[in-house]
Amino acid sequence: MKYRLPIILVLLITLPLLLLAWQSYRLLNNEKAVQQAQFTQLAKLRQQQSINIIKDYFNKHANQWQSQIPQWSLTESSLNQIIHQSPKINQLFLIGTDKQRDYPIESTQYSKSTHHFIQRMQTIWDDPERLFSNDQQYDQESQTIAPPNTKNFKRKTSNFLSSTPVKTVTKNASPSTRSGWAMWHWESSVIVIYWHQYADDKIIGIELNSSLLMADIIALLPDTDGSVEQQHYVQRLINGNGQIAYEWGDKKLNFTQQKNLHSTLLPYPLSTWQLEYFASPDQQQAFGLISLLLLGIFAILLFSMGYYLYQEYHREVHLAAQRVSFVSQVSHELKTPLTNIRLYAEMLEDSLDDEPKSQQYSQIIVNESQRLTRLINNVLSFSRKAKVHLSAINIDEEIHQTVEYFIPGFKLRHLQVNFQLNVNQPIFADSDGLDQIVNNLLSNVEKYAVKGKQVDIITEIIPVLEPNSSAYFILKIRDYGKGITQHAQKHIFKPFYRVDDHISEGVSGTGIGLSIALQQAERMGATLSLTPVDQGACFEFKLPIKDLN
Amino acid sequence: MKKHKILLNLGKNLGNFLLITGLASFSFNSAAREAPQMHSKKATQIHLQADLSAPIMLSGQKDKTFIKVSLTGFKLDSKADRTPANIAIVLDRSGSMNGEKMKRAKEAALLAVDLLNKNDILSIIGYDTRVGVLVPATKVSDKKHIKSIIQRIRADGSTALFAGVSKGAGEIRKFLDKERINRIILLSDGQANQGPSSPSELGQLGAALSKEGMSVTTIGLGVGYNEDLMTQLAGYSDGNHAFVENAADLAKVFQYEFGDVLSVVAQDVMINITLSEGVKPIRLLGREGDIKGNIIKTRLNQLYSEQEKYILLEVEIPEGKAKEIKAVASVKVDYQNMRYKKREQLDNQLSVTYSAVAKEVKQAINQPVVIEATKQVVNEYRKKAVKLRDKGQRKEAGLLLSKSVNFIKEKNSTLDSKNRAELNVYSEEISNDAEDIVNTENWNKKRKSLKAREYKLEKQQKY
Repeated sequence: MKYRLPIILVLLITLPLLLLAWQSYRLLNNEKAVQQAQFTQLAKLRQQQSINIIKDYFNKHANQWQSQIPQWSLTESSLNQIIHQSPKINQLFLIGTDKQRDYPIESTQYSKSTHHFIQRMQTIWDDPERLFSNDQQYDQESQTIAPPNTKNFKRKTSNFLSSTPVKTVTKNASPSTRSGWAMWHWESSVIVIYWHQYADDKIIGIELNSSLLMADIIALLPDTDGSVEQQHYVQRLINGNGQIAYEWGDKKLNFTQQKNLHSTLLPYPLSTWQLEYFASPDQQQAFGLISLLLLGIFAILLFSMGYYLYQEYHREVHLAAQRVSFVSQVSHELKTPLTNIRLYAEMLEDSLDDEPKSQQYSQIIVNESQRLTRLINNVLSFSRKAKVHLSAINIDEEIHQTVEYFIPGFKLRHLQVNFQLNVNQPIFADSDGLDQIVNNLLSNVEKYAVKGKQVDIITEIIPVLEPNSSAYFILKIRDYGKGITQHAQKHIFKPFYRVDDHISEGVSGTGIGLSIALQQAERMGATLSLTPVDQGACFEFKLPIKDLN
Repeated sequence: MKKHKILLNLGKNLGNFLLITGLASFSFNSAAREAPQMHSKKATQIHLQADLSAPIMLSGQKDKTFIKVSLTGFKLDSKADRTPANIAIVLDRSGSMNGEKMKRAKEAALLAVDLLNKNDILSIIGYDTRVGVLVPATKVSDKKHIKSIIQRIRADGSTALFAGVSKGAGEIRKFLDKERINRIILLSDGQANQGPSSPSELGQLGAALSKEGMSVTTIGLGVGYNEDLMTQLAGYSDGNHAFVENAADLAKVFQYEFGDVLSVVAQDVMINITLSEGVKPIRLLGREGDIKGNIIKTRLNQLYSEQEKYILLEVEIPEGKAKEIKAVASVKVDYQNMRYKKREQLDNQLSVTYSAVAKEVKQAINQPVVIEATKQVVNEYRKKAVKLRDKGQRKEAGLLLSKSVNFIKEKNSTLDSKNRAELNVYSEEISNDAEDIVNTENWNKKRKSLKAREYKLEKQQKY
């Protein structure tokens, strides 16, 4: 009971918070999914721009060579000349109709660069068909891949990877002329070949200067200029060995997290290269932060409200305790003068002559002072927890004495008392407590059930019924008044509760009588309960009988 | 003396002929060098001179000799004659440049802006982890604006050198023109640690840019850069290379560099040597070239005003009878004259005379060619020594250089005493190098200085 209020308050606070948190978590998740989709879309769009630059570069050169190559004279000196003058061309080779190499011409003394070239191209000398047959390994379309973990695919040997699908040059009169790109890795660098097959099956191959290829692509891609369009994202180009070839974008941004990374493979013929895109995480988390902040503010509000309520409750309890203590102090102070009043009133009664009027007046003074004493005792026993003194008492006599006090008052109101006292043996009980119980029950009868005209006071002993239980002393006080409604029955034992209907109208009372009676009963180890009867109310006091020994 | 004088060359244009002698003595040779100044008309053409180190050979035996093909740029009459330049300054703005280095680099770049005028095109590229085109290729008319951009450069990040050069090349390409001097000036103080970074990759790029008509000058600042990468890039594109240990010297180096750039008189210089029958090519010294059968091809990106550039070709000449004259080679040069904006050709024939008299042979030796040949041969040894040192074979490297010193002394002793000074200085330099190469102390710095000197000699760089 003591912790009920705090628990209710905590529930009141946490339940809406949890609900809100769950809702915002769901919302956040949704938002995240939406943002992820947007991020991917934007990443793809921006990467596509870069990829288009690279695609255009290769297309431009393919077109250029497509128109130039048919005009080349295929003599050794003119091929030498071409290599010597074209910056893009690293080396050239020519495969004759017999699938044998015509250029570089077989010799015993190659220059160093030619020697290396012949080594690099071994796979072509073995089978020139590979240039245009091996394209199935790669899609021409770039594909999205997972963040790069397996970057180290260095190839020590000439590992032939790919060649573009065959392009037929429709402009040309001869349908058998075709050309395309091919690419493979040699040691740590990439080899890019543009090949062209003449109508007579001769194949010429151009090995691109890979450094210039890289430099050209870098020159075409954007730089890092700190412009507004470049804010919040960076891109970088990763070569076939997993090394960063070039990066550009927002100056303040670095490739830190794997989370906001989007990788795309480059199109042909650089299909082992990747383009990585990384966007600022700030943009993405802004929403989450805001909702977290709102949630926090709401939580603080709820908590402070709960705290305020808790404080208020405590204040009320404290105030009530103060009042009770004040009342009990006052009551205590009243006790001494009241005792004197009673004493002298009784003495006065004795010394008065038999004049009925004076007798009657002094009787009233005595009765009222007795009533006041009971009232004060009630208040005091409510506020102070008196000790229980169990002793063997003649219980019937005790009860009879207590009831005697009420008889004059009852008589005035025409209320008849029916005694059925059947216990002729001493019983262990607290006589003060019992006194108070009977007092309170009878004063209730006096207040609320006078119209019933009678009150039954019954005592009895219920013997041992079961082996492990004890015998009981029972006291029943029954009136024939209006009775207590079903609803009020639940509450009558609570302090300060007063049945709120016409019965209590115009009747004064503190509302603590029954709760004191119950308290006293419980202290003695007894119970006090309302037992159902067909008319009026019946209170039953049930005390287990202890062995006198 | 006059008796031996043989007129070898009659140029295509008779008016342009030059006197080149196969039997020239030193005194005659020096007269020939002055020839461009003597004839004002020649002053607008490249001066071509081809010499043999031994114009007279002992009969009855085959022998090795050097062919030196020397090209000297003509004098520019006035500043107004100079060719407009198209320059990309590629600045390292990586974290290591912070402080004094950055300040000096900015000063140097500001100086460069002042040296140019509104006919020139300039772009400025800054590179760290990423590359920024700070000033896209533009005519140098608003100097104030360009300078304010230079002042704002901040140093931070790593070194994407390759990408920096790539962007520089991209800016040059916007106004790439045979009639301009197209040059990238690269400044770096650190290892290229972002993007392609091997010397061979940079060399390949240099070669390609050279074919496009650009050259790259590389300036290494401090002792943190990769000298192999920087010399390869400069070497293959025929630019200059400098080692600037102290950032305070940066402005001076820029001054020299712009002195060179703004005095280019010829570009795209193709040299074609065809050897006569029986003459075998052995090796080209210094510059890279193509040797295919009896044809040797090489190319210089540019010639600077009043500067001599040469190539040395070692050949084996077959035996002959006394008094016989044998044609050795014909030299053809084809270049773009920047002053007159047209292509011009020059040619030259070389022949050797056989003699039975050893004294005659000795007297005929062309001592200046011997000096240059000796220097270049030793330069090759020095390269080899550095390679040995890189492999950890310090002693062997030192030994090779000590042997080289002896070789120089030996060659020097065959010269007239008045011609010995140059090789004495050189032998001093090599013996210093021999000491340095064995020592472990400061090798990083010494290697850079050595590489830079090696490069200068190989390319006959003026500064």
